[in-house]
Amino acid sequence: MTKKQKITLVAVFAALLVIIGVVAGVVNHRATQAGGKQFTIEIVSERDDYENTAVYHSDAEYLGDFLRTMDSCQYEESDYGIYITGFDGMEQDLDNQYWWCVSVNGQAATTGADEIPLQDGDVYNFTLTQGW
Amino acid sequence: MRSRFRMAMFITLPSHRAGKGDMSTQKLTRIALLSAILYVSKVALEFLPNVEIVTLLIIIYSLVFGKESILIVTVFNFFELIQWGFGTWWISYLYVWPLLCVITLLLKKILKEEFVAWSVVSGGFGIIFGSLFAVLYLPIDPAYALSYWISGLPWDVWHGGFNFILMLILGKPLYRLLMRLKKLFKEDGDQPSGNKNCS
Repeated sequence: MTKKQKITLVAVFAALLVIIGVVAGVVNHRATQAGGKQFTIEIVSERDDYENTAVYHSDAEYLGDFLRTMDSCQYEESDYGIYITGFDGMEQDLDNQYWWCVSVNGQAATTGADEIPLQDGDVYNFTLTQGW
Repeated sequence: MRSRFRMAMFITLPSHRAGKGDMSTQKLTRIALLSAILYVSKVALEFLPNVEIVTLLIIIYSLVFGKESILIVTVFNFFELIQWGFGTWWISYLYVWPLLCVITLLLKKILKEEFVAWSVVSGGFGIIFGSLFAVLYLPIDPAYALSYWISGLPWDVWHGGFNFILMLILGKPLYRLLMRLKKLFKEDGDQPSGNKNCS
């Protein structure tokens, strides 16, 4: 392999890395909305026989930021961002496999609340779910 | 006690049959040492996310020791299982690392000792790393597999970049060192230990 071929190979690989990096950044980018947003929060716990729906207003960029300001939300800070442990004293119970499942507009969230952009008109559902 | 004895019988019996299946003490020690180095290298770099020399070492092991590298990564996989316990990631480990051995063995004749090319292989393996794990979820939940892969893609790029750089810097000297050591210990031969002194 000549020196020129080696340089070409390195350049091609570096270019490939940049392209995939940009594509990865674009597909993972979740646009946030600036300004005030009106959205719905549903809290459901069959275990506690509880169901509550309320409309909120906030300027927060991400759902996680809003939850930190919400009095009824109990959470822990982890390396991966906010981790919801309970609402209104209805705590998770890991020994019995109870955990809070987050859904956005009826779809189970694939990321943590700190990566869910707060959008005007969205419905955020928190359901105490049993089983892994 | 009885069951223990049976287990001992099970382990020792095959070695009494002299033949191809026998593993020499040297080979056994080599596999143990190289897998231990692999494991320690992983633990040592665990504080840096997605920066590792496991890929580098496995490629070099495959270049120097051929198919034996598959046995080395198998032992390494069991070390991982002991440390972290069972998880779906471990099932992926069972095919991800041996796959790297197979890729290296297949490309060995073409790429020979061109470490710039091996850097591309190592970097490319870093880029596809996440997808190799996502494949496992594909039959269960394709949507989850896709989102798992995409959300990890920036880390795959990071992984690929470091794999590339590390192979570029360390590949050749490590390969030469292991080749030298291999030659140095070759005099003992790879004959099954039982045949030499005990027959």
